[in-house]
Amino acid sequence: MKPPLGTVMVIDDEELDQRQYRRILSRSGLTRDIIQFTYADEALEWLLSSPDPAPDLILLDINIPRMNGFEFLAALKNAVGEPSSPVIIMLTTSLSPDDQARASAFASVRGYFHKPLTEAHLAEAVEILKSVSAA
Amino acid sequence: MPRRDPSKPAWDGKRLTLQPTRVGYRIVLTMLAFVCAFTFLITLHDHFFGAQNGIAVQDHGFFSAATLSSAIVTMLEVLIAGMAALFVLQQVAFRAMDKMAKRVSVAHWSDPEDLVPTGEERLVFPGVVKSIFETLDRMRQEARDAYKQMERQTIYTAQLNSSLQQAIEERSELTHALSHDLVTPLNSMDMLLSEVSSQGDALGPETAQDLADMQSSLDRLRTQIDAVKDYAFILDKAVQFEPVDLDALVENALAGMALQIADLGAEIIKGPLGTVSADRALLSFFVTEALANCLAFRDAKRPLQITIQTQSPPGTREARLVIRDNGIGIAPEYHDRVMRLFQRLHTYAEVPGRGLGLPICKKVAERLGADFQLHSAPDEGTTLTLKLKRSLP
Repeated sequence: MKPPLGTVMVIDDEELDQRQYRRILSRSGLTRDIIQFTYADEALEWLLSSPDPAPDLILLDINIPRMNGFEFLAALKNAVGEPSSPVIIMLTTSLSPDDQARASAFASVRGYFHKPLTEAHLAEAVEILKSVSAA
Repeated sequence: MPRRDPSKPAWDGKRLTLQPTRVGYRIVLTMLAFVCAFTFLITLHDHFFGAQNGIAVQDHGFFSAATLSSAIVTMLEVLIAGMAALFVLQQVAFRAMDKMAKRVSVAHWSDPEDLVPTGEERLVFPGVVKSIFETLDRMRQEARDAYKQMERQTIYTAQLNSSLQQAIEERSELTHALSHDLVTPLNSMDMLLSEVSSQGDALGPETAQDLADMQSSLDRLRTQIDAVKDYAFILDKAVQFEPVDLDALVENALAGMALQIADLGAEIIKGPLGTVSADRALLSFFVTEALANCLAFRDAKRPLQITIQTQSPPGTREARLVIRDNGIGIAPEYHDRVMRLFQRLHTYAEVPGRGLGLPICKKVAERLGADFQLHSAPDEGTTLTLKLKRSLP
């Protein structure tokens, strides 16, 4: 049976944080693959190259050098529209109302997780993915 | 005295109807015409019927010179009388205008009663006096509105000043909190961390790696707190212009980076820079950040070369401080972004830094009132130009 979170892509520029994400995700046993990018533009390029397996969930940091999280969302929407998969969850250090308003303009954004990422967040992500696939 | 409703014109047109004056004029003019016609008729009568009435008048004929001259003399008499009357009227009008001007002069603009024409004014300026007074009233109203607006503005500015002052004080407190209250627990954590790390091999390789990561995170936190402190200092510093020996200032900044410069084998080309007029502390921040950027954003493909010089267009006091490198450069689409606080184009792992270099340069330029320009393109390197002034000898 496919693990509940399937293939998870994490976009975050902090290498230390990425290391920790991989640990938490692997330990949870909820994922099949973990794909990590420190630059959003590189992640976008990879996504648009029709990868196999395609990610089921993207955990997206907002403040990233070069292309930030919002620019990534806009570019992705521009390229492929807003399909129900992958589900995108924003990772933020401090979520301002402005950021929340900006992110809510994208239908593919289904949630916001305050950093640091915890196992409770992963359980929440499972519920979000379930509700999206049921819809 | 009841105050007038300021929204209405000072002069109520009905109350000041000009009818009687106009009638007076008509009467005078009609009388003048009657006098003129009557005199003319008398002259003619004398001419035709003088003899029959037993008055000794010689018959000169209808168009005789005597008859015509008598008529002309009469008409001249009437004209002179008319002009005399006009002259008197003009004098009265001038006097009334003079009085009116004094009455409605700026010194009296606040008294609405001043803007009601007197009987005399109504008599001498029947046609225009209403509009003059209405215009004056409107001007007075506008002046009063402008004054009120100015008053409000002054109060607003005073309030703004006091809240600005408060904001500056609060920011100062915040800076103090950053430099003390945040760093205190940081120091404790640092000490605890080195205590745990000192257990060495007993920890196992993974935990040792975690501890090393924790240490680098802590170091970075300390660096970022310092960055915020520096930026706050640059914002708050009272700017003091003085002659600054730019050569000494740059040498000092380079000395602080000597180890890194030696490690990289960077070539420094420094022309004579001279003395400029600037705030020494602020300019020092500019130079340090600009040079640190040169080192940080070097291009691995070629040896780093940094050129520091001043350019002075002849006949001016201008001294353009130019700091140029042959580093990786910045693509034009990112030129705006790199000027904003904590905006980075590279991950911390690739290029460690505070995300404050160019924002500090820009803020220093702003505080010095100096023009600042960034010229940069990928693979070509970056040139920063700060337009300073030579200090006066």
